[in-house]
Order: sequence, then structure tokens, then C-alpha cells
Amino acid sequence: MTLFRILLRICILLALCNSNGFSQDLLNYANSLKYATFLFETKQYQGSAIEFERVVFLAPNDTSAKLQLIKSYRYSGNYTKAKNRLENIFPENINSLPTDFAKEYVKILLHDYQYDNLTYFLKVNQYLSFSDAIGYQYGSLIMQNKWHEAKIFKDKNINKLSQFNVFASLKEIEKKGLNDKYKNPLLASGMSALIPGTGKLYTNQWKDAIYTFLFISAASYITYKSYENNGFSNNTIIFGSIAVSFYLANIYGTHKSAKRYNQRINHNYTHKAEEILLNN
Amino acid sequence: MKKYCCNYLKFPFLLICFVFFPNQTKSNSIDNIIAFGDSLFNNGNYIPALHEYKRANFFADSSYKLGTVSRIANTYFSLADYKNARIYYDSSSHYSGDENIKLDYYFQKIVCYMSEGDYATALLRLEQKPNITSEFYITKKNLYNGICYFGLGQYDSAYLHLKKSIPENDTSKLIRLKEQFEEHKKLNRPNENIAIMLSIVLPGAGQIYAGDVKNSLNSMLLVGGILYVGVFAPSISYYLTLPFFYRYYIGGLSHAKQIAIDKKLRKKQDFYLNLDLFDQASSDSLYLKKFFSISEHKTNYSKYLEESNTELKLLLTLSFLFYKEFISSQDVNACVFQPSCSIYMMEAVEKKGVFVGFLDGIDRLLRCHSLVSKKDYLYNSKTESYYDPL
Repeated sequence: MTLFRILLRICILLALCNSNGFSQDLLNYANSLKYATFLFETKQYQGSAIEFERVVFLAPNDTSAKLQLIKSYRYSGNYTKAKNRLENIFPENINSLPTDFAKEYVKILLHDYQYDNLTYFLKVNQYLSFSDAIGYQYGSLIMQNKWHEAKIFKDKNINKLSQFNVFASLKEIEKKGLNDKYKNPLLASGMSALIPGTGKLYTNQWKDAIYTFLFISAASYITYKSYENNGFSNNTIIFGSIAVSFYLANIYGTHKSAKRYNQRINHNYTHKAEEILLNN
Repeated sequence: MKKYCCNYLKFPFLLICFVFFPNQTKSNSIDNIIAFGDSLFNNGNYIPALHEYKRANFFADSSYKLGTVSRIANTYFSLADYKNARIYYDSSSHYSGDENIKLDYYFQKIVCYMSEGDYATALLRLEQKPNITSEFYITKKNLYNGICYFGLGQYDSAYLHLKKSIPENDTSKLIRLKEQFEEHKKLNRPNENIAIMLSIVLPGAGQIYAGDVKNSLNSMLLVGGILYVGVFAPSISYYLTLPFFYRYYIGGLSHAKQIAIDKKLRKKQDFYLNLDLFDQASSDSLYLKKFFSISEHKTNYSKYLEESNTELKLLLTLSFLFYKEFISSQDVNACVFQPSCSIYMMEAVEKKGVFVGFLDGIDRLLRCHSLVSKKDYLYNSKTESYYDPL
């Protein structure tokens, strides 16, 4: 009996020493979590999302895995899936998400530019800290390029906002946005109507301005010469039509150019603020 | 005593259960994952298969590594991700103890270079493997060398190596190869430089030499027409037509060159497909046959005609299509934007109406010049053009 017990203990010891125990079912919770964490840490987010799905399926109460799952979807750029999954995990009330999930939801809404939904969520969610809620609201105003509103909001909530992690960076953008000079599309078009090309110069498109000026001047000169030599001949009509078409198109294009200039500035600020908020 | 015997008999059973069974469980699990990956791979679901193989590879011990890594390499190869395939074929070679299997992966790596069209590197890598003794691999090496030289346009060297890849007793095949390569000089014709020279002397002549009559007539009529207007129309037209004459004349030269090059590539493709070489390496023949194949790409513009719901829009669309087919096609590659100005104009007319769309299209023409920079628009290095959608 004693010998048998000794042998039995040796067997158990061997089994325990063997790292490939029964737990080595590669699709079980522990291994799936191990592999999912490896994929997440090596930034293979598409793969980690699939693995965390398995982990969440095997352990529905693992909150940390659920958070990693949402993050995996978000980091892999699949925001729609991240949002749907979040709504699926918390089906009762999306507005009462716990802190970490609430932050993920805020980032998804910011990425989708759903500012109204974001404002409402920040108001009703009880788990986000006040400074975070105020900070994200301030960030969303900057992303919308509402500079004056953002400034008023900041002055009103300066004490709480200063506790927000990325407040300093956001404040810097707000300051730049407020002082940046936008172009007036009507003024630009008016300038192009007076002297072709000057409107594009005003919108900082000096290369287009030179090209436009030379082309319309040349077309007008040829029309004038043709009229001078031949009166209202076919040539005059053809060259005249070309000159008028390009002149009108330039006025239209300058209006568009000014709008595009403003859009580019706004897009730049929106992108910067988004990057700061999503990496927070 | 019986009780003791019974207990002693239990020992081997327990030993099996506790010591060997866990390993067996793991093996089964990896086997199952690999089997599932294989079934996905065989059905062409390469991305999910890759995920399964990588999962198995993460947990695999050294006895499984070769199987998982080589499967990952094959999956990347099937996905045409040759860079990753090469990395994993290298790993497969590392995990394999058998010299022949190592050589298989080595050659597979060479195929990756060849699939990328990098015949020079493939050739270099083949030269770096001199100690091959097996008849099978020597034949394979000669075949690959021959294909690489063929790819580089060195047809004499290609013939010498391909000849060596055919068994000496297979005289009919050798004769056929010799006959085929006797005509290899045809592969260097039409010469693009001759096509250019002919087009310099007479616009459109280079295109005729390269065998494209339609383009030749198009070029002759367009350049001739502009020349006629410049010479015989009122004096002012001379200055106006000069830049157009220059563009379409130079455009004709570059088109003559391109037509000649395309014709040579098509000849090369047909020549290669007619070579009766792939029996020796039948497992490779599937992808070896794909080399030098040209993909024909033609944009379908009929949707613009279908979307033109008024007579005026139809007229404008037809004139833009005419411009695209017979005028823009003869021009130098001048449009710096993507989509091109004519497509932009058609889309603008379609979306914004005739008047505003027309103005928008003309404005695009004013913005389309060589001074455009990356500061103003997103640059696509593949198409070498700036992205400016409607």
C-alpha cells in the first residue's frame, strides 16, 4: 500500500511538473485569454478582437475581457462593430455604462462625429467623472470648430476642466482656432471678378492664380485681336466663348477655393483634437 | 495480496493518464485547429485560415512548428503577400531537419521573388545555392534559372538553362524548345526606339509599325488637322495651335513607344505559355504558368451615358467621351489629377447640372497644371496623381 501511495504521488508530481496539463485545451478560457492578450499587446487588433470574442463567450462575467474586446474593435478601426458590441453587452441602458466603457463609448461617438448623442450621453451618464464629462464636451466643441462657444464653455468651467488630462493641448488648439484667419468666399469671388486670379491669390493658391491670370488674359487678348481684325467673325465667337467660360469658371472656382481653404483649416483642427481625445 | 496486486496494476494506468494523456490532449487540440485551418484554406478562405494557423503556431512546440509555419507561408503565398511568405518560408527551412524539405522551401522563396517580377534577385538567390546534388533539384534550378533569364530578356541564357532542365533522352521536347527559341528574336520586335523614330518622321507611323492601325490613324488625323489649322487658318491661330501641336506630336511619340512595349509583352506572354516545360515540376506548374501574364484593364464609360437623362447632358457626355477616346488618348500624360479632368467634368455635369457642372469642370482645367504640389492635394504615389474628387 505504501509503495502504491509513493508511486501515486510520483505520478501526480510528474503530472504537475508537466506544463502541458489538462488545461492545454487550446480553445479554453485560459489559453484564449493568453493568445488574445498576446495579439492585443502586439497590436494585431483584428485577431485580438476574434480571440476576445471567444474569451467573452467562455466567461461572460469577465469585464476586463469585454473592455479589451471593445478596444480591439476600436483600435482595428471597426468603430461600428465596437459600438454595436457595446450596445449588445449592455442591452438595458447604454447611458449608464461603467466608467471605462463609458470612455470607450465617448470615443466612438467622437470618431463618428455624433456630437448631439455625445452631449446627451455626457449629461446622463453617472459614472464618468465630472472633469472627464466636461473635458470631452469641451473637446467636442473644438472638434466642431465652435471656437467662441468653446471659449465661453472653458471660462465657465475652468476649475473642473483643468483636471482633465489633455486640457492643455485642447486649450492650445482652441486658442489657435480662435485667432486663425478664415477666407471670405464672396470677397474671393469679387476679387476674381475684378482681376482674374487675384481671388485665388487671396486663398493662398498662388500657382493657380498665375496660371488662371495668364490663361484668361491670353484668351481675352486673342478675342480682342480677333474682333479688331475680323469683327464678329467665327473666330471671335469661339475665342470669346472660351474666354467668358474660363472667366466665369474662375469666379465659381475661387468661391470654392475659399471654402476649401476654410474647410482645410477646420479639418486640420478637428483631426488634431480627435487624435488627442482618442489617445487619451 | 489480491488488493496489492490490484493496486500495482493501477500504476501503469495512472502513469498513462497523468503523464501521457495531457500531451495527447494538447496534440489533439493543435491538430484540430490545424485541421480546421486546412479546411478553410482548401475552401479558399485564406484570412480565417491564417488566423487559425497563427493560433496553432502560438501554442505549438518544436514538433509542430514546421507544420504551422509552412502553412502560414503557403497561406501568405496564396494571398499574394510574397514578402511575408518569404519570411515564413525561411522559418520553415529553419525548423526542417530534412535537406530536401529545406530545398523545397528555398525554391518556394525563389518563386516568391519571381512572382513579384524581381527576376534579378531570384537569379542571385539561385546562384547562392551551388551545392545541389539531387538530380530533381538540379533540374528545378535550371528551370527557374531559365525562367529568370527569360524574364530579364536574356533569351540565349534562358534557352541554355531551359534546355538543361529537359531530360537528354526527351529529344522531341528538346527539338521543340530549340525551334521555339530560334524565333526568339521576334520577342524583341517591335522595337520601341524604331517606333519613336518613325513617329518623329511621320506622326502615326510608329503606331502602324507596332501594329495599331486605329491609333495610327487617330494620331495622323489629329496632328495633321492641328498643323493644317495652324498653317492655313488666320495668322493668330498659329500661336494658339502651336502648344496643341506640340502636345499631340509628343503624345504620339510616347504612345508609339508604349504600344510597341505592350505588343512585346503580349508576344512574351504567348511565347512563354507555349513553352512545354512544366511537366518536370508539375506541383509548381500552376503558379509558374502565371508568370508574364498581362492583365487587360479597360474602363467602362457607358454608365455616364446611361445616367445622362436629358438631351443636353447626353450631348455633353458624348462630346467628353469623344474627347477622351480620340483626343485625350493622343495627348501626353498631362492630367495631374485623379479622376482625370474629363471624368471630373462628366461627373460634375451629372451631379450639379449642366451650367454649374460645366463651370466646375472648366475650373478643374484651370487647376490642372504642373505646379500642383502635395501641399494642396493628397498624392497617390501608385498612380502618380493628385486626388481631387468632385
